[in-house]
Amino acid sequence: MNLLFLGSYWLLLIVTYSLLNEPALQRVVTIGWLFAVTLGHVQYQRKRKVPLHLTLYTVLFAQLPGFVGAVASLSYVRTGHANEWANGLLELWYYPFISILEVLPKHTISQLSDVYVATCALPVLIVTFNLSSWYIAKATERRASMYGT
Amino acid sequence: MYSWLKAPVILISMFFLSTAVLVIFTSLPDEDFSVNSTTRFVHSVSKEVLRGHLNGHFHGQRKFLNVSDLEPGDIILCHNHGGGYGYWTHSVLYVGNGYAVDSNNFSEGTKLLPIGRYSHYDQLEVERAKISWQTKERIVSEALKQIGTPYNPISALSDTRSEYCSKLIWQVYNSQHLRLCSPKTWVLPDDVAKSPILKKVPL
Repeated sequence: MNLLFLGSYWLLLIVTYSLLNEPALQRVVTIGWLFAVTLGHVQYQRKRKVPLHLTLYTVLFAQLPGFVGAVASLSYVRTGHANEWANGLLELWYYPFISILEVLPKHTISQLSDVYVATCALPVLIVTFNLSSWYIAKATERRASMYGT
Repeated sequence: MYSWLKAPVILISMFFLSTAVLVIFTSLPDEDFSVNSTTRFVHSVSKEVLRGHLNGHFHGQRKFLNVSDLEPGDIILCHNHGGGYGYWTHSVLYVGNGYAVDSNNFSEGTKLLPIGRYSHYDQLEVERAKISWQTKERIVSEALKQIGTPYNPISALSDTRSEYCSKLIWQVYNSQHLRLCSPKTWVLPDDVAKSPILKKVPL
């Protein structure tokens, strides 16, 4: 399922880039994708019973570009050097989510833009989101077996 | 065993496929794309990245702008030889007292910076519109309101929730019914520089 997640994410990237001139529609598409992936992920986990360690392993690989971009960008910010490639990788990879994060009120955290900080946290948040879906699937499966449904 | 291999194989395949598409795309001649099209712009930027440009590094000699030469509302154009997407690689709006509103950094968003920060560019130029002081004050006021707005170079011109350097300048001038250039997907510093309502300020 996480491979489907990765594949569908590429599709989301293509669609949101093609909607560059329609920021409101971009946000709707991204939120719709989040709902679809949550529901699809829970359903898939219930049917296939993928072990937790395999789910974690797969989703970490799926988020590898994000982790690389976030670590590289934050390390350059910390040293005070400019390297736009790391920021560029982050912006390109998380473009659909950035259009939603821009709705955050203007604020800085330790002189960093809150949108930037949130984008750097996205790889961890998405891994957490996937693992939460796994636990929700496990809980609903246990509940179903308890009540014989 | 197969389950463990699926994720890295797919990710590595996608990486190589994307790299191949990028290399093929950038090897196409410029003439294959219509002038001023979005695809041509993406093609141009991709070529610069593959050349090692657009990495945020500067190689220029130090230059200084004299604050006494500047007026609020002036547009400072900056050229970095290691940049891309045109001759002028950055633009900022001077707001007075030696400061400019600058939207160029994803990490920090739109900021107020001293004009000394631009001394490392290879070339600087100042452009000025022949407008009243009241209009200049309103333009400066609009620009100052954008401080803290996130930076996003892939944002639509109509999207006011994020900025990039030349888009910010275009929007604040447009707010006073002064259209620097026709609206399009990306308004670049070169588009601002060519504006018929701006005149170069002798420094």
